[in-house]
Amino acid sequence: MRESLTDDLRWRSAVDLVWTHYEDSEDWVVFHPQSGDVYLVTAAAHTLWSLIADGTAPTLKQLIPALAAALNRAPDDQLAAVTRDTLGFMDRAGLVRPISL
Amino acid sequence: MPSPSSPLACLATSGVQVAIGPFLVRVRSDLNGVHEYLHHLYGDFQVAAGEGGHFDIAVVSSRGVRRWVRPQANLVVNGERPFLPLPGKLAGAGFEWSLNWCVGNQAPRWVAVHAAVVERGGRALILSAESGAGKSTLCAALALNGWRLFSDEFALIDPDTGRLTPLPRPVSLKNASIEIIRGRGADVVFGPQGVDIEGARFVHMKPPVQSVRRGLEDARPAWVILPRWVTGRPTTLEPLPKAHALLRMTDQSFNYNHLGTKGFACVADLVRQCDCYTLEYSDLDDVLIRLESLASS
Repeated sequence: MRESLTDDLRWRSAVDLVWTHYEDSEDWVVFHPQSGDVYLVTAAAHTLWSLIADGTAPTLKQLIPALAAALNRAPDDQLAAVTRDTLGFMDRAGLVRPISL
Repeated sequence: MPSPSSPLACLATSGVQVAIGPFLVRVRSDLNGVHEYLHHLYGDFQVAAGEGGHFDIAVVSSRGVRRWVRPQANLVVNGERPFLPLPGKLAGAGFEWSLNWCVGNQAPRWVAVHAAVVERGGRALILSAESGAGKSTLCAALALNGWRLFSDEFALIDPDTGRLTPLPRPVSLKNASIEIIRGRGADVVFGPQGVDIEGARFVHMKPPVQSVRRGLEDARPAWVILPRWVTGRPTTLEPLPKAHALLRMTDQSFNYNHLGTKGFACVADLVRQCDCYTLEYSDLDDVLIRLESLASS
């Protein structure tokens, strides 16, 4: 994981991603045109990405309560850990990028 | 050597053109093994003297002492040599492997997914599996039981229509599958048995003549099935989330990412219009009944 994944680091979404969803499950599939890679992600991960993409919550500090609200659950330590891990995954996959780097 | 009137008479000189599904393949070879292979397994295909084609495959002997001692087959594909020389007895199979390379790498009009495909009533069933999972065995058994063989190796998706293009060719069978399929078709023609570079026994099964004659009739994708042969396992056909099926299909695609977003969207749309399943089985007769029922529903 990027060492600089701090609470206040601002994130932006990668452009031109192709998201696909089917009605028979909550999972999403995303295609990254620049790398040609395809990823299967959870609905929560897609929501997290959407919160960054629409500018609602560009930092980890903002993402945790925003994701909690979107998922209708408490912004507890478990959710914070999941958010951090998912953000790290999306960073490594090139689905999001820190603005300041 | 072939008689002057044989369609294969020019095989060793200017070469012949073989019409295989949507492709015109130019083949040249001075090896008897290739002539015998084409004669037995491509006897129902249109073969004519001529040059040019979508792909150019030459399977030629080595020169010098290698022509007589441990003879080799050299594969020249569209002017390149993508493979090391093969033992001469694998020359016929070398043609098939060369054609696989061509379709997987040099057929950009289609999205090519590694899968077997059979068709019934205008609807195509796609079998996507890792090597050794029983894909070809099931494909061959279906082709001998009323389904039309589309392809043992490739699901060719036309991005403009979303439909599947057939590529009927000999079915590659390995190890125990050889005896299983031999026991199911007394009239079925098989090529010579060989041992591949991984030590597996293999043969190629001649495609049914109706599949060859209908080699330009496309079909609508209807089912994606991920089969797995498991010793002693009762047949289980379970729904598979489409997102998982899409991940598998893209993972097994040779060229979707070369087509960029259009290629991905093509595979995603195919999955959207299919019912997707995992299949585990050990009883081939039982699974044939289950898939017959699926096609009738």
